[in-house]
Amino acid sequence: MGRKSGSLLNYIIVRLLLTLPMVFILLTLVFVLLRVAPGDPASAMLGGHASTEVIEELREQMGLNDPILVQYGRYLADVCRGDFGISFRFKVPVWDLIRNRLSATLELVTCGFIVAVIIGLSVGVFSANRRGKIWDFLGDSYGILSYAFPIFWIGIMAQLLFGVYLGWLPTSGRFPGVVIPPATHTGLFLIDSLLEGRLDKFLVALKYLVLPSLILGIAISGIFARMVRTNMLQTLKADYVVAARARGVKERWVSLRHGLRNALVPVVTMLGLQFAVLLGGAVLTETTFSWPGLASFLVQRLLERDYPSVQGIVTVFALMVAGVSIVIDIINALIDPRIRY
Amino acid sequence: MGGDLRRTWAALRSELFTISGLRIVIGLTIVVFYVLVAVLAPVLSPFDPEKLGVGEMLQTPDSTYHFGTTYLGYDLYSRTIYGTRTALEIVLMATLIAVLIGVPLGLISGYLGGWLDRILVLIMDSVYSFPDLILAIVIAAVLGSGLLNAAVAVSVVYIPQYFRVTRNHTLSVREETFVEAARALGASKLDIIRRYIFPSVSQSIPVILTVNSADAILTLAGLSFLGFGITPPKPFWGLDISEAWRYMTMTRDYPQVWWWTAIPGFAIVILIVGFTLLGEGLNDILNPQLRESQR
Repeated sequence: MGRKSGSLLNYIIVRLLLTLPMVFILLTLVFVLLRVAPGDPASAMLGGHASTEVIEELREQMGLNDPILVQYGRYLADVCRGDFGISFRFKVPVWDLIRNRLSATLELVTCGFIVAVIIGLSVGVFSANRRGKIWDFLGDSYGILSYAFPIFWIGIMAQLLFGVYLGWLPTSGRFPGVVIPPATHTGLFLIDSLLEGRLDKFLVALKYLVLPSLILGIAISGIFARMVRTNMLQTLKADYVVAARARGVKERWVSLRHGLRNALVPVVTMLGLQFAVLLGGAVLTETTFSWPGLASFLVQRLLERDYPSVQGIVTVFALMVAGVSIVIDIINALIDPRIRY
Repeated sequence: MGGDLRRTWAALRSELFTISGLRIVIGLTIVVFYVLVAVLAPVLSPFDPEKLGVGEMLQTPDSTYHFGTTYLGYDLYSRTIYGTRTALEIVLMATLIAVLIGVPLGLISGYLGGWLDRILVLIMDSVYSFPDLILAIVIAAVLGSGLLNAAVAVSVVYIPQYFRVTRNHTLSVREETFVEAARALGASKLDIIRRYIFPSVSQSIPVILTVNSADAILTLAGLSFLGFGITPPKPFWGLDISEAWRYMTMTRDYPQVWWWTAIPGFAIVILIVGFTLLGEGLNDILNPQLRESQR
């Protein structure tokens, strides 16, 4: 048992090394996609009326006339340096453009994830304990419906109801324009305002966060609920659960201690996989609620063919997904000591 | 194949009054209804869905304009009906593309193994791990708008899924006795894949197909809401919602145009529920072991 902590460290290192080729493949894929695309960033930037010479000069400036391999090498160097190159549109390092928006996205996605986990776990455990009953059926219907409603559509409906009709909550943005946002420590407004000791700013930030994160969370929670239910039912049929029941252990204790705990490893794994879905949902949520995040920024930069920005954002997304999957694997290795590769 | 069909049918008949059977019946009814609407669209629509100003702008639903009109005077009823066509066409194309690429690659990768398998798995896993919608957006933006382009953008998301399922199934079938026998008799690799492995693998495809169709519609709706893939005046629900939303945020004239967002939204929701119920019902019946462990 003495080498246990050592093997966990090894496991983490191997896991990190395995992630690198994945990120690299995505980087390359996006690079290739953007180069084979019809449409030229230079003419897209200058509009339809620019002369060929002006366009040509701009292409030269942007390095678009270099051989494709030279461009690829430069791109990889930019990524390794960490600034992702200079944005065509804004003429500043892409990382500077991304940084603030990344924290906005992280704040939204984290809160959405928490909402989804809370709802998903409760609905899932609740229906698993009442399998075959009307509550189970309702939980199942919730799962299907929350998946079937397009996220932007319930977003709009919620804006109309809570924002416009009832007037309870703001419908767009991250912070009111007239109030100075909290000083940047982490970039997350909720945490920064607390660090500053300003409860009023915290509440304002929270108010802006409620609708988008609830909508995002609810949209994902149905899938969570069904996974939790399925996995709990599977573990509840295991011999040790039957044995625990036979010993007269209370049903509630059986369900939580034996059922939920052992269902946790597959559930945590699937939560990790759903993180990608959550990011996809964030694109729609951010656009619907004018949230100044990374995803809505990507949509605008794509329309302008700002290659360095698009590449930078996609890289950050790929790193986020990879990071989450590593964290999930580590959590699983901690929950269940048998997991080692 | 006939035997398979008969077996499926027998299973269906005995399951008709269980929950799975009910799911299939409801799901299938919804999907068939949408298909009928799509086919009969020219007969059912009173107006040309892409024609401006067939009515006054922003009319509330009444007997002439059943679902009201939009800001540009499009008839929303006709647009909703024709939207069914757009949705089903693109989903059909996208699924076809995904199956035609994902399944053969999965068969080859699983059967041949080696470095080709390793590289393909790595690429597919990378694509699979990346957020679906974001990938689709990038591809749709790169390709530009159009029905086929939208279908390609949506299909890329699903190729890895068909690839994974096919490859894993191939790996397990490859070592079965009947494949072994065929190999011993000197059948070529292509023959073995086509005649012995594919028929067995193909059984797992219908379920993913239905479940993916639901997802594809969501992806497509998301794409068009963000302004990629399909562009106006093409009738599509996601597009109508997006236009209504833009109008609402610009004019702040919110509650007066409820029908413009609500109706296309319900069109999406009901179809997705249909596909989901159908897919899950099929899954329950075609994979009984899985169901046993879940009930």
